[in-house]
Amino acid sequence: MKLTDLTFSYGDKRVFQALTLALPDEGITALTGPSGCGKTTLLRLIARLETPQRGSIDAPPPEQIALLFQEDRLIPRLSARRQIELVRPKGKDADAWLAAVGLADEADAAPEALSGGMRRRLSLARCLAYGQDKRLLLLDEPFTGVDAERIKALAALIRSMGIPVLFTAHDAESLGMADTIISL
Amino acid sequence: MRPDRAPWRWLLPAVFWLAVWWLLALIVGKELLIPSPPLVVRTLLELVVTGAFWRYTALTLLRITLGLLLGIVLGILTALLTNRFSWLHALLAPAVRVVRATPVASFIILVLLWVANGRVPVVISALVVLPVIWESTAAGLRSVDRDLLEFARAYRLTRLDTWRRIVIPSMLPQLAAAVCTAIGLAWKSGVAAEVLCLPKAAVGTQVYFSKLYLDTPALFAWTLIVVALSLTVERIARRLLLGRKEDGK
Repeated sequence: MKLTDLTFSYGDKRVFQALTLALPDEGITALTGPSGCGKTTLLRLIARLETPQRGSIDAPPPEQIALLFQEDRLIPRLSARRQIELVRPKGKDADAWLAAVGLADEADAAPEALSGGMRRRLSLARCLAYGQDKRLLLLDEPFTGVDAERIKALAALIRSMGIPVLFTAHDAESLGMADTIISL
Repeated sequence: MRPDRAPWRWLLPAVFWLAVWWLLALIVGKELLIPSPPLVVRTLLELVVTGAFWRYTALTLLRITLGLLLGIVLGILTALLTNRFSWLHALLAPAVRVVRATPVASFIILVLLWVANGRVPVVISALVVLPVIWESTAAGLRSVDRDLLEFARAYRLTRLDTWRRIVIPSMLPQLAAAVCTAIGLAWKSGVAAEVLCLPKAAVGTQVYFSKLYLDTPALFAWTLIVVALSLTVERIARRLLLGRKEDGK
């Protein structure tokens, strides 16, 4: 994956100026850096949710990318099981994904009934269920609100999928799962 | 939070207002001006046993329900189109404002020149309902969470799932409130159209006759029928639109 001569602004706010960056094609890569340095924007550009004003992005096409948004973006009043069924997972069923992230007992619970950490895990499970046959996983702060012990289990789950991962993080526990760390 | 369903919550106000009505009737002492509740009930019972009563009521119900449904469908379709094409919104918005501001009586007389008098209440109800539904549907569409729509695009949700799970649940509360308002408006304007157009079999025509023959108890009785039908239709609509729960705990 390569980003070449990338320039991007939100209105008057310049985020990237002629950024060129090579990213590993396999394994787990972490993007880190201070708040506001453009980590989320970089993921959104790679997912083609934003269009750069200049430059090019050499990455899998958007239909081959699964992006975990920085916000949970769970559908209100819809059960955890349905949240996952909605993205039509192939292979493992919704209950298996819920069990994989430690939410087996919450299959019928709506997001409003879950804690912040649980909602994050549900959002991650939905992303992984959608992304299991994709070529790239983009995870924006996947472990926000998740305790250190669980981060290890989730990292093992993500690694077991064998799909290249690019994720953003600040904390040492999350960064610990990366093969490569890139600081912006 | 569920509303308090204790019987006294509706029974006490009902008894209070019935007492006020009865007291006023006693004070005025003229049935031509304010008939007493027992007289109105007696008139109502006399009406209910006739076959004509049921025919008039059924046909009025049919006309107004048709007009209401037509107004709802057209209002939603208009909102979908104006939400998609801003030029269409710019074109239609002033026209709809003019429709809202125009006296219903003007429309009734105008529409009477265009269509058969039995169909005027249908057209008038639809015309009154359309702007209310259009505005609330358009506002509902604008209020759909952009983040969820972006999620739907990024995860390649089908158009059907996006509408079923994100768009419709988000706009339903506003639409339901507008439909309830529209039901009351449809009945008011529909019966007014019947009063002015006098279809052969209609509640509005009977209201007109009660005015013509100064039969105030009959006027009260028919009005009670209209109010009861309007509230019943509103209750059914509320149940249909808001009664269904999502599957999450």
